[in-house]
Amino acid sequence: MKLLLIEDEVALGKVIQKYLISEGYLCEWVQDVPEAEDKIGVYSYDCILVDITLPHGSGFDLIRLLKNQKSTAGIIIISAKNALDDKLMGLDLGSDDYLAKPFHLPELNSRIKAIMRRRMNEGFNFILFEEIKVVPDSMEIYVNEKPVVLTKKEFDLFMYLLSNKNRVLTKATIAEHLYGDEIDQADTFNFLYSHVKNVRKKLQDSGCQDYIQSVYGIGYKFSKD
Amino acid sequence: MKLIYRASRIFLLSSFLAAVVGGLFSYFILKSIMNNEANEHLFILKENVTNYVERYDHLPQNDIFFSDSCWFTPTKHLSISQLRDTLIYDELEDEMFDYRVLSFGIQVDSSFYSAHIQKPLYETEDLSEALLISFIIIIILMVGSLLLVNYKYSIKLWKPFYTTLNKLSDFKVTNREPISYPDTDIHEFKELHQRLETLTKTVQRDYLSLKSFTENASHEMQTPLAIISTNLELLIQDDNLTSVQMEQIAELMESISKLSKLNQTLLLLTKIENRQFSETKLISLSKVISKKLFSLKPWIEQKGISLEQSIQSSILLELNPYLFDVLLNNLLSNAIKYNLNIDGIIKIKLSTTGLTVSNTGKRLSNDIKVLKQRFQKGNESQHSMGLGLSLVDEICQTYGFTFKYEYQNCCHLFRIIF
Repeated sequence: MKLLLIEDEVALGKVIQKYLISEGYLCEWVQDVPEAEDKIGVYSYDCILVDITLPHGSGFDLIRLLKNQKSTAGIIIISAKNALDDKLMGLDLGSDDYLAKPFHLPELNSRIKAIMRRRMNEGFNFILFEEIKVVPDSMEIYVNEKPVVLTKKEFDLFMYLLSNKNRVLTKATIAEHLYGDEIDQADTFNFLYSHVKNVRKKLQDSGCQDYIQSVYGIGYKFSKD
Repeated sequence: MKLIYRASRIFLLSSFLAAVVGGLFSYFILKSIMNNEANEHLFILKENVTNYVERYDHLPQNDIFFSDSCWFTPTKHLSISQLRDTLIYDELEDEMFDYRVLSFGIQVDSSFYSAHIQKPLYETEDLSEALLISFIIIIILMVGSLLLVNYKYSIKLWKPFYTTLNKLSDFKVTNREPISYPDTDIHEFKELHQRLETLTKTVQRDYLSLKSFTENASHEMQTPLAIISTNLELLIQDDNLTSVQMEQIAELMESISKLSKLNQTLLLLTKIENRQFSETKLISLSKVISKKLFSLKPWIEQKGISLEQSIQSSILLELNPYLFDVLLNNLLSNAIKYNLNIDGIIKIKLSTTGLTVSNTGKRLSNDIKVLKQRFQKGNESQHSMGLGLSLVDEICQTYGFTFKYEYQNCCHLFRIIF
């Protein structure tokens, strides 16, 4: 899967690229609008991560260019400007998602995955992980083809863990994904704990192995080993 | 006391004093002039009598000569001349009248007489009284008219001053427009306006630069914060980390996330102050609140809080949806966060007049006015930054709502009056 990251902040771009490459993506990174225009003109990408404030132009110009080219690439705006205007304008122009800086890398990863799922095979798609089968569109989970009933939050939690499998996820990252950052963190951690407990129990009751590992002091990791 | 009353009072007081002093002074001067006049007249008569006696060698008749009366009484010695005032009964008027009598000795041949000439003084008294009365009338008329003219003119004269005063009381440091002062050709007012203009402009400029400093600082902080936290996120994926290192990183991440949240809230506050959320929509408060309560339900339940709500349906207001969301979030999450751990209650009431959120909880150690200021916490809480109520207050100000707080029957009562 090929991604283009357009981010002028070198230190940030570097770490995002590194993370995405370690996630198994092919990630190219450019730092300004002309460079991005060159890349978009020549290659085609599955997903484009674009900053709004860029040297020699605006991220919005790039989105317009992509739409003019009838590009099928997914577009995620990553902007430090946490303004509603930016978000609305970006979505109006046809971008798929908006992520305000600072964001958690697993959050970015799960957003990319969600877009990719929507783009690749619309309607019919499911994810397989060992004995687990997940149908994201209808929010169903099967363990050995037997359905497991999860609440919406529990399902969101499970999807987030699954999207970022083999990764250590901090409690704050998961809590923010589930509840947004409006609720006090100290309280969300309690929820998170009970949600994780419930998901574990429900999966294990259906005969599933426990793939949710607790990383002491940090959070959780969804992994086979 | 108003300037004009004080000025009038001083004017009145001094006019009164001048009138009294001047009146008394002129009264006594007049009196002494009349007195001298009377004496002089008596002495002229005395001269007439002496001349008569010298010429004819006998006394004039005890008669009324000229207008005043004169009479003689025999004496043994030549008496000395003396002046005295006396009261004489007048039968016609049935009243005592003031007279001045000049007595002097006179010699006719070898016999001695005492001559008495008398002159009524009531004429001069009447004259003084008449003069005094006319003097008082003149003074009253003069002072009255001067006062009136002065008062009317002062009002006109001070008008630019009062206009300026009114404009100043409406002055807000957050306003960008400079104050326009009324035109005046009075030097002092012109100078006052110039000074005020410089002062207000300086204040506004300083405020703006301070604000843009906060804004820029928060803005510039965003990227480094993002870099730190994303790097830490990448770092924890390293399998070679020991659990102690992991814990240290976790602590770092927590602090960074606090810092970046603080930063975002500060940016939000500045944006609200800058009126960057000018876009409004007609939103149904009833629906938004119910929705918010539904999403907060797990949190409320987890803390064992019972929720009582009386939400009037279809209350519509023209607001920015995002700002109202921020307001609700802060009010409600405060009500949940700072509630009692056992048997907590949250009451929410929405009506056409306003929104009330009350929750059981410990009395705050700080005053609400202070709490509305930034970085003020009601209780020493590790998890709060003390920006929540200041956000609510700022949003209420944007829409002209009144934000009130009370502590009643162990309940914190937050009231927003639309």
